Amino acid sequence: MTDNVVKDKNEYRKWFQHTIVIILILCVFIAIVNIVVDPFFHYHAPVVKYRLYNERYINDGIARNFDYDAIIIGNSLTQNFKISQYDELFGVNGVKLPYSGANTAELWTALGRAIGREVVTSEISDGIPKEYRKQYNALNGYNDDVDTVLICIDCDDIVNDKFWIGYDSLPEYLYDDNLLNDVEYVFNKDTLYKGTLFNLILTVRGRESTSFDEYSAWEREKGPYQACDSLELIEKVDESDFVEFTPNDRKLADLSLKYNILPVVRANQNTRFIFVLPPFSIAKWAEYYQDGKIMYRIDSMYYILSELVKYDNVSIYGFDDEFELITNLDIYCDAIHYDADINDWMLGEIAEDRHKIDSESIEKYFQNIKEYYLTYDYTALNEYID
Amino acid sequence: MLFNSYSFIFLMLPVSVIGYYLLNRLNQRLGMIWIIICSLLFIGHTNIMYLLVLIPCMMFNYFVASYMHVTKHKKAMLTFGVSINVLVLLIFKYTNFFLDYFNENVFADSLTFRLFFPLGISFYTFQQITFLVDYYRDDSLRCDIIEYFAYICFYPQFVQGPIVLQSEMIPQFRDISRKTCDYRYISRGLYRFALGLVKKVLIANILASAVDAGYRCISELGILAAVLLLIGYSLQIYFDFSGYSDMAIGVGWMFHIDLPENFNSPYKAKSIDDFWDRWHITLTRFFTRYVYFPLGGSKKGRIRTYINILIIFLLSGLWHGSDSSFVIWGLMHGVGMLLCRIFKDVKKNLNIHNNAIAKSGVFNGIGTCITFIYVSIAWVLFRADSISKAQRVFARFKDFCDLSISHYMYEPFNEFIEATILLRLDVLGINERIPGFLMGAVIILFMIACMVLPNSMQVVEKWSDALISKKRFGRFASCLAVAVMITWGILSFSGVTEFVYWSF
Repeated sequence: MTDNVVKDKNEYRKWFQHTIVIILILCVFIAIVNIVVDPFFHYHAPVVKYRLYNERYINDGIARNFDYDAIIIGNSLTQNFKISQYDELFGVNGVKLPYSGANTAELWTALGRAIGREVVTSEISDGIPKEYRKQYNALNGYNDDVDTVLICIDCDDIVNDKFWIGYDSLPEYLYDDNLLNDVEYVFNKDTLYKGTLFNLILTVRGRESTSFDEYSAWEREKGPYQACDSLELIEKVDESDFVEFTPNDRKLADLSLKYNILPVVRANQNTRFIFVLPPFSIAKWAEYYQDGKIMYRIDSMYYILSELVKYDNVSIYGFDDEFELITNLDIYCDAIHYDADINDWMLGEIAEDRHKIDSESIEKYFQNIKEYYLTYDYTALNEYID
Repeated sequence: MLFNSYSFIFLMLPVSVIGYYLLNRLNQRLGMIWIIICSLLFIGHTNIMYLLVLIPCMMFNYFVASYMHVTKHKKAMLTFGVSINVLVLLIFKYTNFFLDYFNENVFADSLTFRLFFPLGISFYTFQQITFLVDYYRDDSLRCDIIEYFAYICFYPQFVQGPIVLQSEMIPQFRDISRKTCDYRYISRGLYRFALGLVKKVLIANILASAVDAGYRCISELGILAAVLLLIGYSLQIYFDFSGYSDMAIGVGWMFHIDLPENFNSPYKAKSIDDFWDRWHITLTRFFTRYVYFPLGGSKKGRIRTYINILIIFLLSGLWHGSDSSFVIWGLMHGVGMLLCRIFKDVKKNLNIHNNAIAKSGVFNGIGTCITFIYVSIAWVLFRADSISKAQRVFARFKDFCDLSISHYMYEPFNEFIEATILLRLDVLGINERIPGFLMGAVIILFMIACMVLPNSMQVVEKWSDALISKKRFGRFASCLAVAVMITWGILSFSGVTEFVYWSF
């Protein structure tokens, strides 16, 4: 081998070694920065200013690493609750864990991870696919000191729950104990740019972190046309066309209660669970009416609430009987989503213990709403329907 | 396992390459066995069932080839061997197609069974056919089972080719000079891998975001958006496939093995036949040597030549996919090839070659543009799930008045960090005034780059030649550039998906 060839080979060796060293330095540096700043709170509580965004990436980290003794959790209807008001009215130190479009399984799995749950062994006769059973196994939560949990529930979803998390892009690497798949978090340009770098810039510029009042809060155009947007022209529906809440539906609701809700409620006897039935607009009730599902809706709510009301640590607050509010379509941006002021008002009402549904008032509550929604003239909404 | 995965970059690649050279020091056979073990892990990592198809296929072909040397009925053995290979490919490629058809039309969606599709089967079946045919043609060819297994399942080329011949691979496996670690090869391999990684995970993925979004909202597209969709997909498929090939060749070099080039600036092609000399070169070679020539090639008259060409492209369409749109895609290319032949004959007869205009290169420029447009139109059939969907895309070209770009198309593009950074640099606010400008500009720039700039092979050759003469700063700059490309590529394997609830 000539000297030149040896020299050339040495140059290539040096080039290769230097390149590998630079790659390693870059990777280690990025990993360290991402782990230290930890924008999704996967490893520790925040050490720099932070942005709260992208619920499914961040909520589990909040539940695991933040200091709190109360939670507000639920779907998009909880996004406008203000934690500062919650803290003040209930004398707690709360966090908000909203999950847009979440189903019952996702919400209660998340809550179970936060505060713990009983282990429920699924039976083959329950018909839950084997691959989804693992989510029921968590026992110890991240935080044993949670006094109060406020949760918005959707009875339609409890009946129709599929026992697995409907959102298919859940970042599993943030939810499991497998350190190896954390590479997806640590070596991730979105984590680096949208999370770590953003938080560092916030800190350097002396800006404030996102507050839980602001977290996921929204403001949208409201009005009767927006509220009735998903409706088609309403025609009279004959009572004989009403869909019934059948024993089979009852069985589905039982399964959801058994696997999703009650294991968490029972495992946390010292925690007060505040269930909120949010006020759906009359446009949503018109949708039930059109589908012949008014009685189905009312009966399913009744069945689920009468099961929940048996537990001492459960308080239920229902707003379906606030007819003036429900028929005021100026405050709705679609059939179910209402103005942020309504969230404030509801918190105030709950704190004052108004609108409470207990074993004594439940019959009256349902009698009241049944009379109202069955006799309402839904065709009056046709003026807002294109 | 994919090249663009954490497990490959951080584990499989370093372990397999280092292990190969260390074991070669002990015994060269051990190195070969190591390659087979790593390749089987690479293939079976996602689904062990892939191996249950691959290993029997390899055993079958090896024994058919071995038996060919001892039997008097060589041709019958060849026919038997090739037929079984084609049958296996047809079963795995078309069973689901027929199941879907019968499920929809006969069983009223009651069939739930679906056959899995073995990784790389389209490629290794063709590779095994070349092996049998070459064994049949040349009595002197011999290889043992370890060499054969290493040749078929060598993981760099297993998933998406190139389709290699035994004459290209087995002599390299036997070459003692290739058993030692050569940093010239490894460095070139790393460089080529970096280029492929950038093409695959950055460029192809960012283009895919716009293309996928465009195909989701076809009815929203005006003519400008439809043109960008057309070009965008042509570029996406090129960067994706050639990026993967670059990575395959790069990893091959790290093992001191030369894999054949699969792409040579296909969008610089001046005609459709030129395009197929540059696009998926090893597939074209397979069809030419193992189908077109045995059919008679161009030696049986003009009409028969044309028919043979159409048969080749019909088969190519069927190989690429089971839907009828792939057949039409193949036939479009077949017809394009025929038109090229006819045009060349006319040019020859009219003696246009000596014309001043021809010498000025105008024909070449026009040819490149026409070829790109023709190929891009054909890609619509390749990308659309069905002919009706392709027709819906073509229908958007009638809307001459609508020059807007749907926000459904450019918003996913703008979500990419690279696009976000470019948008921040847009101090003049052009993108705000002309929504979708950035996406359009990027697509056009990439198109021009494909037509003007050197390809990966040329870039690496140029770099390799210049590295020794470079000054220290130049060398460090190239180290840094490759390191940044690889690191940014790794960071792009995973993303953060924004949850877009329909309303909130």
